[in-house]
Amino acid sequence: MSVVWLTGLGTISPLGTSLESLWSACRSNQSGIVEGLGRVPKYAPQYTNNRALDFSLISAREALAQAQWNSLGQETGLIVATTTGYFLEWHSSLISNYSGSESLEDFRTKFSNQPLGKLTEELAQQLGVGGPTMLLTSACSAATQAIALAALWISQGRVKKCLVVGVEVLCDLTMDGFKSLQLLSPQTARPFDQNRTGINLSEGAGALCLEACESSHPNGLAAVSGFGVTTDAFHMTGPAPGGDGSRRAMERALRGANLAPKDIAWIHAHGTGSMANDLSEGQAIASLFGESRPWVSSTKWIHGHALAASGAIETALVVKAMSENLLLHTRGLENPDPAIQLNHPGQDLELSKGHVLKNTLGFGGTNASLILSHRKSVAQ
Amino acid sequence: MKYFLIGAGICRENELQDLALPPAWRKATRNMVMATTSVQRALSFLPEGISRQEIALVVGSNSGELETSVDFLVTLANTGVARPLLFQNSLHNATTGFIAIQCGLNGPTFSVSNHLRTPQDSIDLGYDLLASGAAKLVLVTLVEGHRKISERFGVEVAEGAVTALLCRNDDHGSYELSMQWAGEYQQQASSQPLVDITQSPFFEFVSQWLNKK
Repeated sequence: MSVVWLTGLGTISPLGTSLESLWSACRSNQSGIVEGLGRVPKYAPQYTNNRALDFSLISAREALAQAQWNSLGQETGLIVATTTGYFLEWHSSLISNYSGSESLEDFRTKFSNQPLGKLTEELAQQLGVGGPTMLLTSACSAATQAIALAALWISQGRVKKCLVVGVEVLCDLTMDGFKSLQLLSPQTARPFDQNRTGINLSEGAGALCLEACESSHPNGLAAVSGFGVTTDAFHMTGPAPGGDGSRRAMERALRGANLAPKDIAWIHAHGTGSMANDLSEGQAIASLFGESRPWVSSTKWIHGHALAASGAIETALVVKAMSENLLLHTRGLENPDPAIQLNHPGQDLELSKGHVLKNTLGFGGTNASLILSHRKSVAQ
Repeated sequence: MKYFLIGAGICRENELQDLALPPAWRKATRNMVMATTSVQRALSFLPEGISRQEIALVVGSNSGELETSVDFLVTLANTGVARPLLFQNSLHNATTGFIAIQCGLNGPTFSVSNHLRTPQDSIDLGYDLLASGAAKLVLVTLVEGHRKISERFGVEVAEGAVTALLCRNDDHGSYELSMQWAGEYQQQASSQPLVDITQSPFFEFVSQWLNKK
């Protein structure tokens, strides 16, 4: 039976234009958050002045180079995850037109960038992807869903390889929107801390190459062994009490991977630093894993919350850690919230085998969980 | 693998003024109302004994919550006030979340927006979920609402929502589907990037199926 391997990773984040820069910053406990926001620092666009497309191409090319994918024909798919897409290319024009300072003709030209799928089309064309494409926009769970769908496409034989790109740009819509919901923190986020004050919005992109192999893959970094997707059906922006939806997503992921809670060594949580998310997710984890008590951590103190791209950037970071035989602790966690009964590592620890669970929880009540298996623990 | 249509629902924009909405819908966007109405109509065909956890939901939209996004941004620009309800409803997957809440759907839900490929991509995702066993039934909904922009452009582009309820086997006296029946949106130069959902093969097919019922 084929295994779905992750063979290439790439990121652009507030810590720099490569996964290595993100990893290096992580290991040296450096945060990319400035005054509560995670902007990608000034950089020279490498391919285009279109920020979302440039982020996507930078991260994709890093991943493709690591995976050694030299051609992407009809057997390669592309799945993009985003909520903002080409927003920066048209939103100023909308305001200018409504205020009377821009002509309708000029506005219509820029507004042609509004459909999110334009990003997928351009990215596929620039990378030469000849296979099926898809764009998911399920809020903060979009990229995790995209990774799950890529694994599904490969296991069903729809494609042999699949590139997943999650991308998000900081913009007025999200910054002012989250501020209006009183979810933002002016300080660096402190996931699971009893003094946490909210989230840090950030931007960036994560790219992952997935491919099947009958057995051990020479370039295999980790395997996608299972996934679970559920919905709270409770509230548009707040998580369900007790984290019921998140718990069911984790259960589905474990069932799909043929694993039990005791088989999970590390849970990389969504852990945004918001009061509600961390409590709800923590309760879900505690209720499901009970006595197993795997290590639980979040890395959002380092890179912030990149919304739809978070699942891609964070999965890339998690897989990088796994390939280095490490699990990461929660930077910024000083006083664990006693209401959230989780096992927090105080420092980065060795992880030389076993399985990792990656969670995301999104607006609209979307929950997605992935099971990632260390290369030494992949069932074949 | 074979796939079957066992139920469907349509809601056209011109029905909105006559719909008697429940109190819980009073702050819903037009997209939410059209899409949820079409889903409820499709669910009227739901066989007995299927739990809501066993039903997946895929919502596809080219424009997404465009009108609400415009409202949020223009209000912010004019008044300096960011209205939280407008923001929450402006998210591309807000309609998906609303449908899930109103219809009690807590299985897998996905929001798709892949430009002109959105109809067929949404159906393909539905097929993928059925084939993998992630769900026993799948609701695939398309919704397009964009009146504020179409009026600003001085064009008429129809709006509406359509839902297909799909299953993987023929237990329910269903109609067998081909793989590529949903097709793509057609783009008119005069109205781009808006799309006319009523001209899509997906909408036309479901409409004809309902007329025969």
